[in-house]
Amino acid sequence: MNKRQFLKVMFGTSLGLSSYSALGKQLSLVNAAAKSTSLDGYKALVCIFLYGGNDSYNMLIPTDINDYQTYAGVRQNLAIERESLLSLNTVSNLPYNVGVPSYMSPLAELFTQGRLAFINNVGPLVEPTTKANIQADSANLPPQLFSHNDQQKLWETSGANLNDLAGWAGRMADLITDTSANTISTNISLAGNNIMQTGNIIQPYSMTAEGAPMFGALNPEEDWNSDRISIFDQLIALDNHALGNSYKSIMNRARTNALLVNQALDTTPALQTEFGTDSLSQELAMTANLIAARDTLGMNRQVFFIGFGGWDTHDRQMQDHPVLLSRLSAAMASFNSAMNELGLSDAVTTFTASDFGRTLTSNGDGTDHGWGGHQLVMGGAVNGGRLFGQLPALELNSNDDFGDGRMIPTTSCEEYSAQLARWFGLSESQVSEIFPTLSRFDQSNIDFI
Amino acid sequence: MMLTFRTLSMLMMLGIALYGCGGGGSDSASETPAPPSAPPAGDQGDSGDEPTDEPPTQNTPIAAARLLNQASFGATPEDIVAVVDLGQEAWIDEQIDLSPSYHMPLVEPYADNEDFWRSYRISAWWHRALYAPDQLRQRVAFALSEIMVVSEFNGVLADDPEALTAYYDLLVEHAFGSYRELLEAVTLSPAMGVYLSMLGNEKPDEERNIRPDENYAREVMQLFSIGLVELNLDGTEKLDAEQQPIPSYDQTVIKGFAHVFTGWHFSGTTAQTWYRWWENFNLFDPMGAVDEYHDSNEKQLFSGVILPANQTAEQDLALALDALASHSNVAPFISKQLIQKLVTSNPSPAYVERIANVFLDNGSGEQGDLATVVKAILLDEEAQSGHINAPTTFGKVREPIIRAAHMWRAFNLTYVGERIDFGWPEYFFGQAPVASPSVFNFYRPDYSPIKLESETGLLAPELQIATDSTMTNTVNFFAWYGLWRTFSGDPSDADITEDDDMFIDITEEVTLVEQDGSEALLAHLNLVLTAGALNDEAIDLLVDAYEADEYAEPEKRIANLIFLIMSSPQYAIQR
Repeated sequence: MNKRQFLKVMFGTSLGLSSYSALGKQLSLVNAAAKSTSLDGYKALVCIFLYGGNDSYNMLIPTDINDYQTYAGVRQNLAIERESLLSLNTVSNLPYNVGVPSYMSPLAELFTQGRLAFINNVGPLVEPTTKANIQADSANLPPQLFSHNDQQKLWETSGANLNDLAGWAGRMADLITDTSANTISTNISLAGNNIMQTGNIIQPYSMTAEGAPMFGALNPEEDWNSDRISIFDQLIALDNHALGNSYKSIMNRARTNALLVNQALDTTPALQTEFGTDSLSQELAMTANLIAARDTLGMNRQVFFIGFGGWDTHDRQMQDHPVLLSRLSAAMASFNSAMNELGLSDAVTTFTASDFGRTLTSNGDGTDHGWGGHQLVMGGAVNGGRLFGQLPALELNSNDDFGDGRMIPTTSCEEYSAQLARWFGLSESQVSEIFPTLSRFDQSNIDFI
Repeated sequence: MMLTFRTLSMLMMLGIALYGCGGGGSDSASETPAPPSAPPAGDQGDSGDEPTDEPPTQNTPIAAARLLNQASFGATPEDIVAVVDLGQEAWIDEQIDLSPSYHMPLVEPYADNEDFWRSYRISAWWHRALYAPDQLRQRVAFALSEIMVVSEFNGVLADDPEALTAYYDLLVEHAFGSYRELLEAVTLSPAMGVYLSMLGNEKPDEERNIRPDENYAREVMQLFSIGLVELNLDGTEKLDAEQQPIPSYDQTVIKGFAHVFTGWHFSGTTAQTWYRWWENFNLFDPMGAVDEYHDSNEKQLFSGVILPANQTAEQDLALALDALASHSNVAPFISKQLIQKLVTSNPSPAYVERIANVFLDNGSGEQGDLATVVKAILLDEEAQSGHINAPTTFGKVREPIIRAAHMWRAFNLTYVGERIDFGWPEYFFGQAPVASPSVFNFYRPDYSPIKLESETGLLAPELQIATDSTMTNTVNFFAWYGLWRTFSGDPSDADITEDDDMFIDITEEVTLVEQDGSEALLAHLNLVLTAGALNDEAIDLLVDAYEADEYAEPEKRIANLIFLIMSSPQYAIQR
């Protein structure tokens, strides 16, 4: 398909503007349901999942000369030049002062403005874990450490059991969604199916940066489709294959949701904030548009999931990682501006997650799979301008080092996600229900929001 | 052509009757006697020539269409006739013997074009999927491309459609060879070397805290050979005393393999040119060893396997790949995934074990003979009769890109211009050849939508890419490239005005409905598209729909039926 054809296809998906009366009725029901919940006002969480494992030890870097030399000695040819670092002035009591590379300047600025915080050395844990436990073989370690898909799953469930099927935001949506409301899912994914947003009841609705495509030949808004739709519905009802039932349910969800989403997007004024043309920026722009359409959609709580790949920097790290961080910084800063434009800065919190941190040691021109890593949290509600959790020692074989500079996390994914869920409005008992082993952790220094 | 087609029309009526009565015996009404089935390898490694108790494979149009959906890019009237004519086993043998259709000859002529980009290698893929005579080999190569993944989403490979084509051709070449040789070819492929950074991986430099790259070491084990946990021969997980899975390897083993995979670079690289990679840049020839950059210490692999010190890069590699290929996990791990890719997402443990036994011994004492493994997968009793014995659970979700290829095969794609210009398939399907988002492929073999998994325990891997958007866009593909892009009769009558416009040709279906009526049309579509999965009610519904629309031209009405069937779960689930 060439570009011309591609555009033809894209415009082919735009919705004809007709007959919204049935929709209007549905939406008023939705609004009534929303008002009856105890979750006041509007709030949204936006997850940016850095697929592949972000080398966050090249994101927060020691600035004082002795600390920097430790860092540079370990990282060798992967060390970022000290002269280029932007210091983060922070009141926290840290073992060493840190800065970020110059290509993260938009985020350094948000940090200074108190809109951004770093959470240090987060990762999957079964229980608080020390090197002494590990060496004594008494530590209960998460399964399949250092494996991409398994560690992604542990992040997304924020538990320590690979048999869990539902993710933490999915379980959260199960608890708070009024299923009688006829609207789109609480959870919207711009990265396809993901575990984080998958609940036992609530499933994420997947869209793309371009929006929600409409079924051309099954679009109920076109009269000439009506016979075909009627036959199609009768036809699919005649099948009872188990996999076919899953296929049908995805199809039916797509058929109803696309109508609702497109109607809401079409009637919502465009945002003035400009976004970059890269896919992360475009997906954040679509997220901003959906947030702008929240009232039309009848949503008062939403979780968005965005995937940003390319972080598995086994090689070419010095070429690729700066590009990734720079893109992340610019896109997040644009999104922050868009939330300011909507007057929703305090109501929308953006956070990162990633498979794992990476080895402090180099393999020549890259790094390998690690364990704990630093994360970013952005928004008006964030206790910004600060670092939370413990910064790990950067000497090899320190008490934080599992081996080759794979950092033993000092904050669990569970603590990190639970704090976001609390802010979202969940009660302590709801938080315990979603994060059943949370009480194993002391949850100190986690009040980033 | 017309004679064959009419013969088929009669055969398919017969096939549908057999489908309804449950099958199981030989087809007495068939003109040619049913050939004996391939005997599954017994636990004691029975010789392949001994008679067994297994029922022979059916020699009906339905059975032929089912086989073709599993073993090709979709059944066509002509291929159904061919399978019925030859019998399933003979057809498979013939397929295995066909010479490979490589993709590079279709890509190379364009390499100097100014607009040379991925569209050209995707064109070649479509061309082979639609027209290659060696369909089974092409289908297995595609399955392998989703197990031993290299992807365009890589800084170097993105700009090199030829390198990706060369990798794909390597899979085409080895699809019916030995697994051990395939593993070596994949390991030494420069595209793989770039993708999983084994290329340029060097021995440790302890002074600089530099240790070998673990990327290939980890993924070759997790994804290409043995998997994360110890398996029984039937593909189920082994459990320890606490009923927990047992990891197949730990970080020490990964380090061992990472050291093995040092010292390889572009072909022709020497110690002097190791860092001047541009002097040897070559994404076609297998990587070459440079022993000065290979770690020469002893290496510990799995328990019991230790590679002695002072071996060359080649010696270490040979022993390490031998260790991987002979690990007890390989037979069930690879066999099960091939079954899932071709036949059913949820094979019984007994099915996996039967195939794993063939993997371990092809009947001549050879291990990992992929041709015999593929043949056994297709002729296994579970593949042959799963749709009857487990009608609501057997089968798999057809990959959307294979559904598209099927439409274009079944209804002769007609396009203007010298190649199939459809270069961005992921827009419609959420997948494209050799363009996975990561080495974990578009979907994992253990994926299942949560409700399916919690309520039935079944897997549906291909549904991982069935998002709301791709589901919609795939159905739209059948509207834009099927429903609204048909012609019948003379191609010059079709509204083909653009260089890249693509139409489906339903001349034969129009002739069929005019001569034999709408029931014959439905029987034909039910055979060619769904291999008989539409039940009587569904057929009645569609016949009535066809007849009710009496003012529309037959061509439009047929196109509507094709759209409805190809968008339905009856079609989307291959069973």
